Amino acid sequence: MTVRPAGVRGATRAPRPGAARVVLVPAALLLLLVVTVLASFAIGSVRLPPGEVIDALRGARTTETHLIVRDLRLPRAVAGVVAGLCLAVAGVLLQGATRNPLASPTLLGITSGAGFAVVVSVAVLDMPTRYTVWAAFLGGGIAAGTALALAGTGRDAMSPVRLALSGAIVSLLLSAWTQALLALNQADADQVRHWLAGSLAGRDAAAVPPLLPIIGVGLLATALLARSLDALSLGDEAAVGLGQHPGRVRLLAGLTAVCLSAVAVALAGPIAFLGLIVPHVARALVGSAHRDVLITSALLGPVVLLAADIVGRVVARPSEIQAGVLTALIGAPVLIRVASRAKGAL
Amino acid sequence: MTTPSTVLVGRIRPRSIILPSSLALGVLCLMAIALTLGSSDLSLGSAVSAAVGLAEPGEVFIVRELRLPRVLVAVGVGATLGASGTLMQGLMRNPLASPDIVGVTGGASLATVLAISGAAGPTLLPVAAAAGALVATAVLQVLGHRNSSGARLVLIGIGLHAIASAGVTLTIARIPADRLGAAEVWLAGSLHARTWTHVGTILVGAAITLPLAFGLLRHLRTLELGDELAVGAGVRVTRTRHLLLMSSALLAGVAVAVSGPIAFVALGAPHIARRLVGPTSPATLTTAALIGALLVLAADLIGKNLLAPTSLPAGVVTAALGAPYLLWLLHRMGRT
Repeated sequence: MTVRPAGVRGATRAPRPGAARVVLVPAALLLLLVVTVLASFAIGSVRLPPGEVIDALRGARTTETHLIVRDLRLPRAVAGVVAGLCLAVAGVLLQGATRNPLASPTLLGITSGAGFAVVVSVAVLDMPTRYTVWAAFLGGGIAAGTALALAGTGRDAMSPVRLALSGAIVSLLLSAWTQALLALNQADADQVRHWLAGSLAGRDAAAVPPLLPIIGVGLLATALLARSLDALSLGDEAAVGLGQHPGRVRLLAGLTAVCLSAVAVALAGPIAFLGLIVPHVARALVGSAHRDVLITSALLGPVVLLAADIVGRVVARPSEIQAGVLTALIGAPVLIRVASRAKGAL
Repeated sequence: MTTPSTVLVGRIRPRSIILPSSLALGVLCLMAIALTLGSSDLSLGSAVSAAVGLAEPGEVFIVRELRLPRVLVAVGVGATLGASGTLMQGLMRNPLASPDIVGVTGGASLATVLAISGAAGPTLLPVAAAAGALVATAVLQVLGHRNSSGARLVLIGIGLHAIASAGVTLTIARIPADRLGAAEVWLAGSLHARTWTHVGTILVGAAITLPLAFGLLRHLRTLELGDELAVGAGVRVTRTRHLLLMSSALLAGVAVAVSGPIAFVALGAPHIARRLVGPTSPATLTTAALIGALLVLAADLIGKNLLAPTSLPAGVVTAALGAPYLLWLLHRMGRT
């Protein structure tokens, strides 16, 4: 690899936008997030005027509205915000660590690995739901590890197509096993099938607090990794020159991404492609510096997931379309676009 | 390799005859076993005599109306899937490309589920599946037309597959309750309750598509030399590529129509065939078709009898057993 002066690689991709944009975009996204959260309180099979939503949130009413907002829509919004944030950040970490624009929780098999493990824990081992997140961790970690190990050998190691195929095959394996388990356990199948489509409906707000330490540690690690990932994007040699240990950074970023994805899967089920789409949109908005991309993605992820959830609630009334289905419908064209534009070792 | 001995033997090597014949024998053996096993086990003799109508009416009914159609559909589906994968892998020059990974099976599944949800009759389903497979292939070609490299087509195909599966989930979520069961059984890739109508469909489909595959094979071998050489040899590269992809899609669509998506066969069978008889040739295509038939028959036998009385759909068995093989394959590819 030829040695380039520091910063040139990033600069040739997208000129670094002015400081104003790097501040304005997140500010606008924050506003958009607030609007989306409020919309997710107000819009649904029962439409509520904003005034009533605010009253209900302040606890001023104990009526039906109160019930809908506090017990149904609040947990749903919380799950959407947390899962969207975690998946988007995990996507940035994976794309940065592998220097591969296609790396993401879905394509690496993390979501289907976590899904399989959850089905095993619920339908086979009959474990209480408080263990769900740990099962998701284990499954997601093993799946990602397998996919990365498979993609990381040989001549075209870690090339986009290698990584995508490894992940696709790991996912194929795990979803087949999931299907087999569901076919064998018809009784538990219904309970899990709904969850497997990736839905925010019927979430329990009590599931979030135990996850907060993991989310906190994950986000802290992400913040500390941002500069190392910038260095890594210049190439391994340049990163070593800058005093980084590429292997260590990759391992840490990978572990953090698995933790965050597992949290998201435990909360919302396997939400397809969110971790792929959001980082790409974020880079288009604020350039490729990891700190900016991470902040933008962390705000954009919840917006996209909540918007998908709201659309899913509205378009098919009285039934609902799971948010995971809609993110797959948005995400796959992004995947196709990235794949057909990706340069180099395809 | 033109060592004197291969020149003397000519184009037909002994192995390219012995291997397909022994595979065909294997298919016949598995068919016989499948006819004897089930909720009431028959002896081989009585199963065969029942198949030709020389047993007591009960046994004749079991064999002729329940088991024989299932077995014949398994053979037809396996053969068309194996042939479909051979064409596609040769075309994309990627041993991991297959109709199930690049979205062709997904397109067929989506079209069929839509047809089921619209209460289409059994005669319309194969048409829908073939149309879905062809549309998916056409989209794949349009999106990948500027960069025809195999790797990019595979990536685009993975995206198409994701869209199709999202569409399937969407359709399943909105399907009328009385048709949900039928759609789910079909989606799992099951050979349960196949009738002579299914046998007719797959026979007609195979009779149309398999000769097409053999006819196009010659061009595929030229394409494998590289585009420049193929043009030099007088092949119209783009048109040939389109024809090959379309016939691969038709083969997969026919199979999906009668059995639902049976994973891994289109991917695994050509691979095993290439290891046994070498690069693309009529012998490879024949071998892949026979191995496909063996795989589907075996998967259905395992799924039906291993955990009896619970039965697993053949598609679940092929995917569950096939995927570890694929992982190993991918691992080995990285080594070489």
